[in-house]
Amino acid sequence: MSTEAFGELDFAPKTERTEFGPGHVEVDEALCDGCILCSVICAAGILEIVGKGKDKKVRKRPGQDNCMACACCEAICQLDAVRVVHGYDFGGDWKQYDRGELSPPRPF
Amino acid sequence: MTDATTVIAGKEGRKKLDPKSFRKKTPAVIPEGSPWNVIEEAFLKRRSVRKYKRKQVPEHYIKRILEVGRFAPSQGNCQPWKFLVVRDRDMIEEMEQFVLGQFKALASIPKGTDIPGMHPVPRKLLTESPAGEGIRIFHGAPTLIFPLMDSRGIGHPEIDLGIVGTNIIMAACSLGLGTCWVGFAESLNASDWPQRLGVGEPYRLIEAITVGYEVGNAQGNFVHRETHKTTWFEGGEKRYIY
Repeated sequence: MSTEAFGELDFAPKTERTEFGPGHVEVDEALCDGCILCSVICAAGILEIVGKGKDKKVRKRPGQDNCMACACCEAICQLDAVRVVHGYDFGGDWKQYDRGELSPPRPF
Repeated sequence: MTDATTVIAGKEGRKKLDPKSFRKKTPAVIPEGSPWNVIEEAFLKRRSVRKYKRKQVPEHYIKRILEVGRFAPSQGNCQPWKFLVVRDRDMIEEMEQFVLGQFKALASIPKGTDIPGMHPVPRKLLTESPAGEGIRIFHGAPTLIFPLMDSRGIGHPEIDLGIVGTNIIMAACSLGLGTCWVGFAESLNASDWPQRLGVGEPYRLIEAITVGYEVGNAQGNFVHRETHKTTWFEGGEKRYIY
């Protein structure tokens, strides 16, 4: 808990938006086969399974915004049905700049 | 006079080298756009694991991991660390309950309140997530490694602890194990746990690393990550790359 940064916060760049911006995941329902692995390992518990039998699909639980964009769901999905579309966005004093776009590893 | 079969005392693990081959060769040129090598791929695929199987990790795995850890670089080679391993399920559960209890104490703070100086992520976890529901501190891991920091270390011993931890997590990754850094372990300091674990000055309990077998295989795929802005000075010019 970064209490040591209390004084330094006065000098940090600020933003209008003060609320916390969580990570976002998107599910491609056409590809999802409802194997439930992503919802099992999600530490924030934002993924839930809907439907029964062969129609089982994963979706983002409405009203849940604890996603920290750890991308474990994306990594565990063998069908590429889940993808993190943007990362954390801390508001106010904690707003982070120059983070760039999301990208998979690029071999240079 | 030494011959090839002589074992030098204290250097049993050391391979006898041919003096000619000992000279360092220039590494082969890797062409642009080559595929990732084994080490790069391991770093790219390693994820923090927050869901573990109950199965305990063999003892020698943990010893191997710590062995890799103790060869980490440190400032002035001061090696400001000491390891503490907890593999007792009841103890881990008790620690977990203590930290969750700390969360409950903070649950009375109204939702969304800005606690000055506190980062939004722990603030959100502490004030908005119902304690005991979904939040796990040690994620059900069978083994905990506490890299204790020697506060007398040169410069910033916290950084050395981060480096030793990186050695630990990557060694564990190479053995097929999952790991996760747990910063909330620091709140154990507000109890008699440091005493019970035998942690006293100059050592400090600041982080824990969970070790265990992961559920599923989240460490088998690449993921997307932010491409942070890099400032690049070269040939009298300044440019930015992503």
